[in-house]
Amino acid sequence: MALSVQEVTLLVPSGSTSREHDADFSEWMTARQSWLLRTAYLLTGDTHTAEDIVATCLAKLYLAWPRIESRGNVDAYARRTLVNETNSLWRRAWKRHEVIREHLPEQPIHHEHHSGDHEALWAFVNTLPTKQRSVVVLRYYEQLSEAEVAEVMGISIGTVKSQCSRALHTLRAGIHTRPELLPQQREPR
Amino acid sequence: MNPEQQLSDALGSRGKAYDPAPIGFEEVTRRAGRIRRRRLTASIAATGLGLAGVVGIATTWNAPTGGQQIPPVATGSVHPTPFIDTVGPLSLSSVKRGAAPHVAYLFDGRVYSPGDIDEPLPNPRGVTSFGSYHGGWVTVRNNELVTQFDADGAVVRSGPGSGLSTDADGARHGFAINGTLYVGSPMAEGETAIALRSGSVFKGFVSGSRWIEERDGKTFLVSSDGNKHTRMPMLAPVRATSSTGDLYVGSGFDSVQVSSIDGSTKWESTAWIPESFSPDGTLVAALSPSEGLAKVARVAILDAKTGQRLAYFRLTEHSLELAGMPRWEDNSHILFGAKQLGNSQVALLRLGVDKSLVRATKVLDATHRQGFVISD
Repeated sequence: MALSVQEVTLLVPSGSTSREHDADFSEWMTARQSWLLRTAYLLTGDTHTAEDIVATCLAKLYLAWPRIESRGNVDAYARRTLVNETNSLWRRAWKRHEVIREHLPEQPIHHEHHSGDHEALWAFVNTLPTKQRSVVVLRYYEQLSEAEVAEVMGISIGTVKSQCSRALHTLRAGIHTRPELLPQQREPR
Repeated sequence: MNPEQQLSDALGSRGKAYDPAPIGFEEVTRRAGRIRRRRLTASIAATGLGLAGVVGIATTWNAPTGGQQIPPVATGSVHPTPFIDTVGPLSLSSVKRGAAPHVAYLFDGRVYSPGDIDEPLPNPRGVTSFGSYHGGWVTVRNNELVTQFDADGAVVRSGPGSGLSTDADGARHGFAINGTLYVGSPMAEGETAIALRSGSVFKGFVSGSRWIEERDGKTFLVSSDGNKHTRMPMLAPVRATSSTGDLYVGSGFDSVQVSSIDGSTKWESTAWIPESFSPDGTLVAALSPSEGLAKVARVAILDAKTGQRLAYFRLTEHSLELAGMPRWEDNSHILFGAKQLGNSQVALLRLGVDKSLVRATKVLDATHRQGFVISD
């Protein structure tokens, strides 16, 4: 039985999600989820995990939407939620379990822009501890300032600096054993 | 090129190469509902407010009539009259509006949860009780068909059974389907399955993860591993258990009795039918049947150990009828559905042990629809 507009209105208890709320959120989500997914992928190194984290992040954002007074801060809120979700991955029991899938594992992401040094650097990023990796992604992918990274992660600027420094130190040390990272040692094209 | 620039280029290239599949709005709202339920469950567990009632009991009580001498009955109250103790028609819209329900409830096929979340319940027709389980749902239809749904609404298992009950720490739900008792978390994975003895009906948890079950018209206290069965005196069928108070409600010849699992009867009543214990086990929500036990005249909060009436609300005397079995919202408030006689207007009302009465939802139209079912 089709409900009249009046009935539908009556059936929605007070405080239910408003259409404006949904439309507003949906618009933002459509525009920004690719950005979130890419950042999540770089933070985790796995597309399935990235999609799961972003879905959770969006759900939390959806719940908090009415309370986010300044829409200009939504991106910052989303970024912080994303980083928190990533850093709490280890708490999830399922993460430690083998996941059985119907299909073969996803193929490695290949792109014409992936040169040998990019692959090597990506492999290096994948070896970083979670917190250090988050700092690196926020600093060098999101291009945030040290202060902004500190704000997002809820840590001091000094910690951001030290985490970046350690990551770069590890990278520089790795260069000595990864000649493909040295431009002057690349094979001539 | 310095290492910082190399890193920036490599990450930019990697991010650009990832072409993700879009996440749908439906998926986000469904997940939001699960998060909300998980938060709610966590907050309940953190404050020791584990739900304790066994559910799925129809409003109508088919107790036999007779003239047996009854032991001391707790029907009176030394407390002052409740907030609304007048008689005469009462318009639901005139009841003062209070906060939205702090627990989920089902109305017209959708589950409304705290935090402004609503979502459809799979196959909601005839559902008499429901709760979250493994991120999905467990529903009981017509008090006998139990179905577990996963988070996407697919049926995991279904069959005749009983449930749903929450253990003392509020962390695990139990329900029985086809003779097997399943115990697990509302949100997390992991489950214990215990085969019940032939013909047994799971009735609900008491302390120590033990439970009460019925078999051949007899009541048994069962150890947590399911191996030790201790016969309890009389009191079948069991209507409710308290996992925190170690109490249960059984049916006498023409009365109901609230007993301790040590076998002693705490109190007995011909006037009130206890339906569900408060999360901390100190109070019990009760109904007072009228008109041949077919209708509910009053809803009350009683002291669980003495039967003393602490607060009540008249339904029939206000030209209202029950449209949703009372369930505990916290340790001092119950929610129940009320319907206006003569029209189809319904609302959830909140009765407090402090005798307060407020309306927890707006007045809704329930034409051709079942009333409220409050989550367990």
